[in-house]
Amino acid sequence: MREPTYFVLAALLAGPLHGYAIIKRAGELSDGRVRLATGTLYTALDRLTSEGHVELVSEETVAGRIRRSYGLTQAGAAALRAEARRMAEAAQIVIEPAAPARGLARKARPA
Amino acid sequence: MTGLERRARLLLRAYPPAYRQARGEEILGTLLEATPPGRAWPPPRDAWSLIRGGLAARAARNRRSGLATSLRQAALLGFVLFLTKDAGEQFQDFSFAHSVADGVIPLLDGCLLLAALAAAWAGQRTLAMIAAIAAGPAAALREYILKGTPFFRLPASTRAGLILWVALALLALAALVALARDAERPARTWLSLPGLALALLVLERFWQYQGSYHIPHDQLATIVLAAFIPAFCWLATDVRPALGLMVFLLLSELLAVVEGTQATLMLGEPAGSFWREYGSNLLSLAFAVAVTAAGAWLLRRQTRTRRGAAS
Repeated sequence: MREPTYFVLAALLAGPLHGYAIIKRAGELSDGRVRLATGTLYTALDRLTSEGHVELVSEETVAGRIRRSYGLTQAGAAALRAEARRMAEAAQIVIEPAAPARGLARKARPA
Repeated sequence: MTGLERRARLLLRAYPPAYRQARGEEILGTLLEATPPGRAWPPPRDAWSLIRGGLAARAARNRRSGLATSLRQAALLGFVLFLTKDAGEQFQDFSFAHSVADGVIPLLDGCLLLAALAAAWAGQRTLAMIAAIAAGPAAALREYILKGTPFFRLPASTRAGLILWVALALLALAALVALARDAERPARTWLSLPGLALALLVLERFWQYQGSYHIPHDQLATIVLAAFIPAFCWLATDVRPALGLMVFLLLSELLAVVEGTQATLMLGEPAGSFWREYGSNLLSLAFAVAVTAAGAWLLRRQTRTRRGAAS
């Protein structure tokens, strides 16, 4: 899962949001590191909707323009959790290298 | 409407019309909210993401037809281009004719060919067949008249050459009719290619009237750039027109071989001299074969990826 996709799903974890709110929330969650461009957001939303990870929750008209809110599906929440676990395990190898290193030391044979 | 909104709408044109109709206002609203106040243009990152998103949406739309349909549409474009060139040449013959009587058959043949092409493009197979059946004998009659001698009094070798040429025209027309399908009509934007071919043939005739005409180098560079950028964006989202062009190139090479054989038969030239001269065409033939194979492979891969994504 690419980082923008991860943060789009993470932004929706607290509840349904519309396009601009997703961009703002993703920026807040990543301390301003992930700045979703509008085109990138809608490409990701299209893909996530077709994969069943995100669904259209509501539609309203604001200042003469349609505004749609999107929410996370159960499959989307599960995919997000799986990705978070995968990243945590990958991070653990670097942040707390002791346990895997011992395992590697046991397997190592002197030349 | 503010200047920013007008420019944002311009960027949204990167998306296909149907997509724009469904989501354009929503994307526009988000873009305007995300753009800091006081800006006349959307930020470059947003502008680029819209262009990329639009091209991706166009590519996704173009991949919806299956592999067989895509190949048939590309082949149809190739045959349409090939026969458009033939029709254009008939109109050139008409304009060169010394009398109205000399020009009637090329004009009739050109019009019938265009009618067959238009019907095939619109998926009207029956109409395409009727026009093609009429265009075939007209092509044969044209060759018969141009040679100035009754067909059966021509030497056997000349007759064989003429039959070969007419057979190729009839085969191309038969393929055109077979490829015409109402449910598989190609995109209207593809019509720009046969339209361009016809316009070039008309311009060529015009330049022949004007004597030598040279486009200044700086103008030529602008024309090439202006044509290259949209052509690149188009081909980046749809490989089928490129495949159609390659089918056209392959058919043109086949025609060159037929005409070479015709000259060998009719003028009694040694066959070896034609094939020696044809050697220089092998490069373009190899190019056309390589691009056709690569395009077909890409189409197949895209179809598989789409199926995989859908499952």
